[in-house]
Amino acid sequence: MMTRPGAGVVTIIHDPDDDPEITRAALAAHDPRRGQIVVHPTVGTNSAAMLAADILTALGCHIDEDTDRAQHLGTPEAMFAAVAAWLAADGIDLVVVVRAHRLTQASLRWLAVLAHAAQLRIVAIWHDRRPPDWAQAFGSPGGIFRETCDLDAALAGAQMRPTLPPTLSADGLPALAAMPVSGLARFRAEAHQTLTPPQFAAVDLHYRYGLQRACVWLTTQGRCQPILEALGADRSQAAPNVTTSSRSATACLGRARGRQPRVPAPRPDQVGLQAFLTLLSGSSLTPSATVARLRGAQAGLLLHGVLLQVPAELARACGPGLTGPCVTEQLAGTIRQRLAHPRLAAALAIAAIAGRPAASITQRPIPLPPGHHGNLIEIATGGSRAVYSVPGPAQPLIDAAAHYCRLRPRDEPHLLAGVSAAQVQRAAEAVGVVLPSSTDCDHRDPWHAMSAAWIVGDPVHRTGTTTPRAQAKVAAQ
Amino acid sequence: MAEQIETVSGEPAWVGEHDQADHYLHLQDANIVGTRALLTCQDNLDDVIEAAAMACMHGSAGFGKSLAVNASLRALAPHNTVRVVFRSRPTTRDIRHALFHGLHLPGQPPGHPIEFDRLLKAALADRFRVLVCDEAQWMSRECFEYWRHLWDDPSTQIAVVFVGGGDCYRVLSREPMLASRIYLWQRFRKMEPEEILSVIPAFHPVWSEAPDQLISYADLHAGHGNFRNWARITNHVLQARRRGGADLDADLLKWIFSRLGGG
Repeated sequence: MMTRPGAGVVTIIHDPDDDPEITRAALAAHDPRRGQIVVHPTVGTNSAAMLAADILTALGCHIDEDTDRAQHLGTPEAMFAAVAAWLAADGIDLVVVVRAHRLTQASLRWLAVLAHAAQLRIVAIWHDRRPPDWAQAFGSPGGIFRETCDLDAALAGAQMRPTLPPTLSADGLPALAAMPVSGLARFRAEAHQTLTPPQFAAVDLHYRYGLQRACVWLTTQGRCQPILEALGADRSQAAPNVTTSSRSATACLGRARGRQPRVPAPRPDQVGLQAFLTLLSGSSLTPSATVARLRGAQAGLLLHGVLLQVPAELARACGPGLTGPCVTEQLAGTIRQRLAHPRLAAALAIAAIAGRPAASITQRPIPLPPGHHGNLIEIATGGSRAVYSVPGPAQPLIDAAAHYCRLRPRDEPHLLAGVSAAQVQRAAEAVGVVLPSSTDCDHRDPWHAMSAAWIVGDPVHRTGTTTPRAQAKVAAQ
Repeated sequence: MAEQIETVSGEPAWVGEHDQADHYLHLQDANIVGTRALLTCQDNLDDVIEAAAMACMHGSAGFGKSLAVNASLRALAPHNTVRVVFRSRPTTRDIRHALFHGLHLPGQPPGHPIEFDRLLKAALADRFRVLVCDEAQWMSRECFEYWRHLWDDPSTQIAVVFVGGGDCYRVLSREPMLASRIYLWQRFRKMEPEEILSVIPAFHPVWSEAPDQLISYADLHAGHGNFRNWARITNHVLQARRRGGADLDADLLKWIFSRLGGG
C-alpha cells in the first residue's frame, strides 16, 4: 500500500477557546467511504479500552456489553488490535479524534501507537491549554507530533473509495424446488418449457451471466496463476505428464488451441476451478440463481472445449451459494455492525460463504490468506480441501481477521484461532443469519469440491475478443 | 449517586400537568403572570428553539426562572420538552438514565455507555426536542461535557436550556465548551417595587383588591421582589382565611411576617 503524506503523524488542532465550529467541522468530516472517520469519545469514561470502543463505533461496529463478554474484546490490547485490523481492512487512513484533551495519557499513548504502527494520519482536536510537550502529553517519543490551527489542511486529501459492482437481482426467480432438474444439455429447454415467461427470463439472465463469466474466466485465468501458486495449489490434482508451464498454457484454451493433450483429459488446476465456481456462486442471491449460473457456466466452458461436471442433484447439494446466505454488502455491514471481533466476523462470513455448519469451519485451522492474495480461503472438509473465493462485500471481514492475526502473534497463527462453533452459532443468531446444521450437510463435501473439469475438444466460441481468431488479430496489431 | 427528584418529559407528563405545579408550594388559584422576565424568557426561548441552540437562565432562588421556563415551553414546545432536575451532584450515568425515562424509551436502560448513547442519540435524532436541565449549578464539568456531547452530535435535533440559581452563571461561564456554545444568557432579577404593584394583584385573587400600600408594605417587609416569598405570604393568607376568615390588612400581614421571621 502506498504511504500517504502525513502517515504516522499525529496532528494536533489546538483550540483553547473551544470553538463549536471546529467541533462541527471535524464531526462533519466523518466519511468512511473516503477513508476518514471521526471519533467522538464517550463522556464519563476514561479507559483506553473505551477509546478503542469509540473508534470501533466510528467504524460502524455495534459495541455493547456483549462485545467484551462474549467476543472477548475486553482488554485494550485486544481492542486496539481489532481497531487496527478494521482500519487497515477498510482502507481508513485518517482518524480524527475530537475532544482529545479529555483523554487520559494511556488513551493518548494508544493513539500515538496507532498512528505509528498502522501508518495512519491522526488528527487530535485539543481544546485546552497547550501542554509543555506534546510527546510527553501523549506519553510517546517525539517526532510524530505536529501542531496547527488549520483543520481544513489537516483533513485534506481524502479520496472516494471505489464502490462494488451491483449484484445481479434475484427478482422473478422460481424457488429451488421449481428449477429444472435436468443437466446442462436440457436445462435451458426444460426451463423454457416449465417456467412462466418472467421466471424463464430471470433464470436465463443468471444462465447467461454464468456463461459469460466462464468465458471471461478461461481467457483471463493466467493472471490468477501466481495467486493459486501462492495458495499451494495441489499439484497432485494435475493431469499426469502435464508440467506447470504447460498447465499455465492450457489454462486458457483459446491460446492453447491445437496444443492441448489427448482428449478427454482431466483439466488441471482444481484449485482455480473451485475459485471460479465459488466466485460465481458467491454473488448469487438465491440457490436458484446459483443453479442457473452453474448451468450457464457449464455451457460457457463447453464452448471452450471444457466439460464441467457438477453433482447430479445440485438442488440437494451442500455448499456455497446453495446452503448459505449470500454475503451481500448489507449482510457484511450487519456482520460488521454486530461483531466487532474481526475473527468472529470472519468466521461467520466464511460459514456463510461456504454454506457450511459453524462446526465445520472451526474444526480445523484455516490458514491465513497468503500475502496480498486474501481473496481466496481454504477450508479442510472431510478428507479434502476446498478453496473459496471471497465475494467483494466479505473481503474486508476476511482482511480484518488476517490483520488481527498478524497483530496478535501470541495467538495461534490461524485465521479463526480461538473461535468456537458455539460462538459462531451465537453470532449467526445475533446477526440473523441461518447457517446449515450438521444434519443438513451430513458431512458431505461441498458441491464445488466434488466438481471436475475435463478437456473434451476444441473451443468453438466465436464471438468477442475471447475467440482465438480475435486474439490472433489483437496479437497481430 | 445523585438523587434524581424529577423527570418531567414529553407528551404525557408535560401536557397533562396543570400550571399549578409550576408554582412554589403548588399554590392554589395562583396565576402565571406575564412579568417582564417571563415575557423576555418566552422571547428568548423562542429564539433558542429556532436556532436549536443552548441557553442559560440563571438568577437567585425564587426569581421565577423555572416557572418562566416551564410556562414558556408549555406554550412554545408542549410536545417536545424533556425536563430533568437533580437535587445534588449527578453523574453522566444519572443524566443518561433521566433522559431514558424522560424520553419514555422502551425496555431496560442499556448497560454499556456507548450503547446507551447510541440509543439516546437515535431518540433525539427522531424529532426536535428541548432538553431542560434544571438546577444546572449542580452539574460537574463531566456532566456539562455530556450535554455538549449530545448537542454537538450531528444527528441530534435538540436545544438545551440550563436553568440554575446561585453561582450557575459562574459555573457555566468558566467552562469554555459552554461559554462558546451558549446562544443566550438571561439573568433573572428581583421585581422592582413598581412592577410588584402590577404583578401581584394578577398573581393571586387574594391580592386582586388589595390596596397598593398594603402590597408595597408586604413587599418591603417580606416579599423583597421575590416570587417564592410572595407565594409563601399568599399561602399564609389563605391559611389564615381558612381558619378565621381574617381580613387582609396590615395586622394580618404583621402576623404573617412574624411567622416568616420578617416581622
